[in-house]
Amino acid sequence: MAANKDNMQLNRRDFLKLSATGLGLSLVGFDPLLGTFQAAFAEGAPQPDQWFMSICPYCGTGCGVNVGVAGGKVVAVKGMPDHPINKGELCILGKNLVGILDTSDRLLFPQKKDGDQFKQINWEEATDTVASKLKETIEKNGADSFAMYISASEYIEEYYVYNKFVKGCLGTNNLESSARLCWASGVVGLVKAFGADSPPCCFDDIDLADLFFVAGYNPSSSKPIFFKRLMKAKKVNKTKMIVIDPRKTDTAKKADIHLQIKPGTDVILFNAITRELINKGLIDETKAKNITQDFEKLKEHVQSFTPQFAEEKTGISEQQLAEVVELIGQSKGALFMWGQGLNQSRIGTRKVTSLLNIPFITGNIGKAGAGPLAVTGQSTAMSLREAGALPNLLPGFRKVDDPQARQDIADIWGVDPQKMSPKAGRTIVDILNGIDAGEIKALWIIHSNPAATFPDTTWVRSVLNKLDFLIVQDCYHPTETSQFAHILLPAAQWSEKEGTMTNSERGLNLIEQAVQPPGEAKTDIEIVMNVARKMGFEKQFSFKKTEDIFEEFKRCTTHRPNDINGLSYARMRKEKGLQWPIPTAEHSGTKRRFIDQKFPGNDGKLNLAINQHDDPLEIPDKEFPLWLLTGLVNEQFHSRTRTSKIPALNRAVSEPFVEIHPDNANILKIKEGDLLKVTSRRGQLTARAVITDNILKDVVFIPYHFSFLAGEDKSVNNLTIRSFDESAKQPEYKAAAVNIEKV
Amino acid sequence: MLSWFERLFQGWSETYLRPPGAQSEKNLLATCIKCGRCMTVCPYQSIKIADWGSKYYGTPYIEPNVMPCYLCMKCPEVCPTGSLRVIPKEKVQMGQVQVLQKTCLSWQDDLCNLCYKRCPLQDSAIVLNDDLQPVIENCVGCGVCFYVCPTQPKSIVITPQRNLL
Repeated sequence: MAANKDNMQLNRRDFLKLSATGLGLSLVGFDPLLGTFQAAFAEGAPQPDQWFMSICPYCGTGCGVNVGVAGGKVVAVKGMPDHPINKGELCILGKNLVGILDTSDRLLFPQKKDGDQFKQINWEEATDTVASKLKETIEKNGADSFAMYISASEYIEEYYVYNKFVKGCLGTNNLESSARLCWASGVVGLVKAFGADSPPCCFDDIDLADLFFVAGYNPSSSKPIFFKRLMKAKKVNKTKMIVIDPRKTDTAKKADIHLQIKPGTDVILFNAITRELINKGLIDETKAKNITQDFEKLKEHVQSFTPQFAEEKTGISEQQLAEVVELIGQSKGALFMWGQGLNQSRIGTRKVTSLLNIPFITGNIGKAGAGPLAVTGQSTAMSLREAGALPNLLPGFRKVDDPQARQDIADIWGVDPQKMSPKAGRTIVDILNGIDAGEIKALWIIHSNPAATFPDTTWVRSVLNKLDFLIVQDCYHPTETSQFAHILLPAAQWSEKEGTMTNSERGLNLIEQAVQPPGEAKTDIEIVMNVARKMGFEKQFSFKKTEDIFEEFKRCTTHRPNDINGLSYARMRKEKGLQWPIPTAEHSGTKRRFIDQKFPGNDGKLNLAINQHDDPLEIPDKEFPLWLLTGLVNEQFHSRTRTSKIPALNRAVSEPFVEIHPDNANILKIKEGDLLKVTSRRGQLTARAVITDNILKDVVFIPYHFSFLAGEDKSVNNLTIRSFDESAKQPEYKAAAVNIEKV
Repeated sequence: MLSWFERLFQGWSETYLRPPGAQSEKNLLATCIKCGRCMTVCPYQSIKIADWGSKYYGTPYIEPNVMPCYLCMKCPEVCPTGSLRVIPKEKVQMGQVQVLQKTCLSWQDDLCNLCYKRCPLQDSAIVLNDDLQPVIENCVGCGVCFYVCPTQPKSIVITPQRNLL
């Protein structure tokens, strides 16, 4: 006590020092309530002395940015004026990129779990531990007892290295990505419809189309710069827009026709639209038969989806349906866009293929200004697929079950093709189930946060606890997932490493390294290659620089759909956003695919889908009467590992909220701002009520960004259900039955 | 903006807003019994009570830069004297708002629209024009747009409106 008292006492000199500090802080404008130095934004901020070219790491639009560096730190991020995608424009997330780098929770040193605590270790020990543990696990339980789970925001070179290590060297195909959670159904849908994964359109088609058909997609919040481009085209060309969404989103508000559909009934609506288009003679049947298979079968199948039936099931009136059909029928070129509203469903792939029937039969394919245009939620979901970093793929859109593909890749990789597994690896749900069943013993998670993002958080946490060995490689700690790790590996992030990104229109861009990673953090490539070398794969990982990896990857793309042999780091520095295929150095990239109306499927034709509707696994009942939709808000990104560091964004949305219809609010006597307890069969969440008629009656909406780091009862995934798309294994985040009561 | 140090010795600032439904300044000062119920009921802790150092001592105010009003309208319901009147949120008159187009990100070449996205009276108080730029229309002055505006200095100015009935 006495010592404390002494410390408490200030002498006159200390008092003067303190007062001076206080005065100094108030002069530069430090505000503890905001936690910001306003001076940092004012004229006194350091001026960058060097600029590097880069791409925004958030969504799949792929906006070009210039990164300004002063004194070894990133001090400014500006839109790249000469980039073809954004022409200098940025959204609010891109504007705030500086704030994600120097944060107090950056993971700076390798750490090992010692009891309940993490203890700092050196890289030598970390690499040794990982290598010996992996070796031990694989020797004891076989290669398939190991899995790697990566994000979809990394670079081609990184995906390539992970793939070579896991599939080529370790001999398992358990390499899974968080792209499963957002675009799996969409991609499987494209593969089913086209016969290959091949996004056909480009963003320039926006200016040529006369109709945007937008289903289950809210680009106003998720891809603002892409949406701005849509709106510009709408203003200049008078392009019409149809939006299908159970919520009146900011996108729907700008639509000419908004179909406020009952959640989950999209297949019925798309089949009804198809029926009406055919029956009213608004399509060219001969042409449709020429480019598609099974047209007669589809025609017969959709006859039962009458407008009356559709109205009863979807809530869309016959008149609205007729208007939509009329618009599509008259259109000379329509773009079809969709998002998580279709993908995140038990029948997500069916929804996507039913939607794709419409452009196929109306001839909105293989020409400028028409076709499906899909922009992914994560920045490099396209790169991920090209590099084959998914459980069933090899680089260059090859399949693991194709012996010739394994042989080709094994030759380039310098590995024994016999050692490569012919069996598709596990998806994330199978990995977690495998851990639960004791079949997966070791998991390596890179820049991903499944403890926050996977449905049914309580279950996921109990499963992660069962692992023998969990490696978490991330740039931040703690995250929801890092707490379960046995070893933490500090990774560099955007701007601290170099690589290549492909955006959603197949455009490739070089990301330059602007600064050194903080502390002892290393690039992901370095970390994985060091472990691989330690395990005896020096020959396969003899790359000296990132460009060497890119050059090797190029060899995998020869004569493949994504041929990029005409590209090099030097060319990417000069020409931005060139779209694959780019087979030669003289080739200027391919804006649109299938212009010759030859498709990669059987007989060069498109596949039409014959789909039935099915209800979700859980539909509202007496006990849980409301339908839960989850989704994103403009100001946050995914599980907030990056955006939670930005005060400007947290001021706008810092906690979850529950959007509820006024009628439901009246019955439950809920007023705006009331604290609500939302329960499902799996858990509960507490959040404030936002009463709005933008949402359908008996439906509630909760943003998905928050998890248990924000508060034990703040995670919407406490409520969501472990239900998955039948073919793509994508979780169903948009259907769960919940109950609401006032706290 | 005031620092916390200055704020400690500041009894009152002309930038403060009165809670929603407040009567004219003269009537409010005459009728408010300084009970603090509005402050207690506010779920967002937006309402504060004026400190010593001015004639406004004990009356409620909102400092939109620290925490704006989300127009939940719980405070008028608990006001025992009617100093805060029970009115629909569309009829509130707390302040007047102006967008500074020279610094607003959406009016310049970027896209932000946090003000529009978070406005409690979206599409009535703030609307987005065809170029996705925010335009103030029937604004009641709750201050949410001012609070969330990410530029420094802010691209939204809010002026309290205290003397209207």
